[in-house]
Amino acid sequence: MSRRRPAHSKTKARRIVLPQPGEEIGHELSLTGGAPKQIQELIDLLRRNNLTELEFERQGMRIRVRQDLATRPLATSVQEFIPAPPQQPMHSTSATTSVSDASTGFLTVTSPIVGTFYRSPSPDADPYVEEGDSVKKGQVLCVVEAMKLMNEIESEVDGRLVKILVENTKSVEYGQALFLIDPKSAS
Amino acid sequence: MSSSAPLSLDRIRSTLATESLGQIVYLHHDLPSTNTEAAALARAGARHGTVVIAERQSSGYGRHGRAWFSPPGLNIYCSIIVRGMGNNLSLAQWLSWVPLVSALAVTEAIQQTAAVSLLLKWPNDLLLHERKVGGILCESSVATINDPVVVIGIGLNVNVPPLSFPEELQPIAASLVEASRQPIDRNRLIAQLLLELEQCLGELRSSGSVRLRQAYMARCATLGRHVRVLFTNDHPIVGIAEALSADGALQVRTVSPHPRSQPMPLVDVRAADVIHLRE
Repeated sequence: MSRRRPAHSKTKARRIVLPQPGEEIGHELSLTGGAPKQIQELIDLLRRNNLTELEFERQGMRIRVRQDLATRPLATSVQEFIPAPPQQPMHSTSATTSVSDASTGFLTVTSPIVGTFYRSPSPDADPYVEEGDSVKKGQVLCVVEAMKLMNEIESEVDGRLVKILVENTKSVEYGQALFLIDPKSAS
Repeated sequence: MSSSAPLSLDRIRSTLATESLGQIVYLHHDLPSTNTEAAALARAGARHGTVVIAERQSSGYGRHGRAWFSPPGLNIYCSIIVRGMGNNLSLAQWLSWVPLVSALAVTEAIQQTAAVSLLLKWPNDLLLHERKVGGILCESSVATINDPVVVIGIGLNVNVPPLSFPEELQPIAASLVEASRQPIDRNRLIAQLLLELEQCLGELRSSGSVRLRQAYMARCATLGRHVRVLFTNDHPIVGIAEALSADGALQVRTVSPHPRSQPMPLVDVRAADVIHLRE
């Protein structure tokens, strides 16, 4: 299990005050011998730079020191973190229509507009997808119509369609959940 | 009636004054649908402003796959790929306004080129004397926040003789040539249409919808009218089209069955067929 860093550790990187040449860390680092001194040096480095977390790796040994700068309860910084699947959009420039649920790992596809939800391209056509279907990244899942603009909502991941959350031809709100996709069961 | 000159890339380009729209044009003699072709090009990465035109469509379609009458050599069937949306609007606002603004651009182009004045039926049907001369079907896919792709499909009855419409369309369809009384140069009309569309989308990108909303309302025949609204999966409503919301939805005040009862609510219509009722 890995641990989530407190949110404030993600703020813009600050310039780090590096140790002076004479106080280089990590020489002959081991669990015995001089390790406690070097860990103390890491802690000092952490405090000096007002960092929340510092990880140091040398010769197969990894030491991570953390301090909680925030006054919030410690629990928020040790909550379980499930690593994101590789396809999951991680940047603001990618997805707008999907959010990931950390507890299930499912991706929720949401509506980018207020409109009417259609499961097929025309009333007498087959639905784009059914529950249980394997879906591919870029595959059309549904259409949401507003002002006679047919907005195709595409899957952003490979996976399995776990649940269709809206009935055909119903109105949907901005941000309303439309589908659950399990990215882990991509075939 | 004399037939109109064939579509020609050279003739379109000879009057084209745009910066982006129509810099790449695919002109086909025959296509199933220009929207389908443009959507495929968009998926393959076609540039912003790429245009697909056909002399004839074998499977032209409108809302919910309804067939669009697409005889050869007389009309305009044109689809334009529009990428991106600028920084002044949310994605939802951009997608809401593109269909309405497109209709406004087409009416302006027809006014300039053919001196025919059309009105709009919400959201984007083009009307000549309450009959439909043109329709716009936009199709979009949104994969990324900064790069929505919209295909704007425009079908216009230009030089088709009114008597050649299928019987079921004759009471509700019209052709521009009825008003112009002489064949309209489709090449020039396409070039003007692309220019007006580029200017309207540019205004939407840079300044938002405020002025465009005013211009749209001035052209909109639906506002102030008694209308019947047919939803896909709900009871129809009858009321007065009272206003246009900030995001382009038609706001309809339903008519109360009991004249002295409480004022009826205003219904925001975003996806429905709107029928103008006789006054």
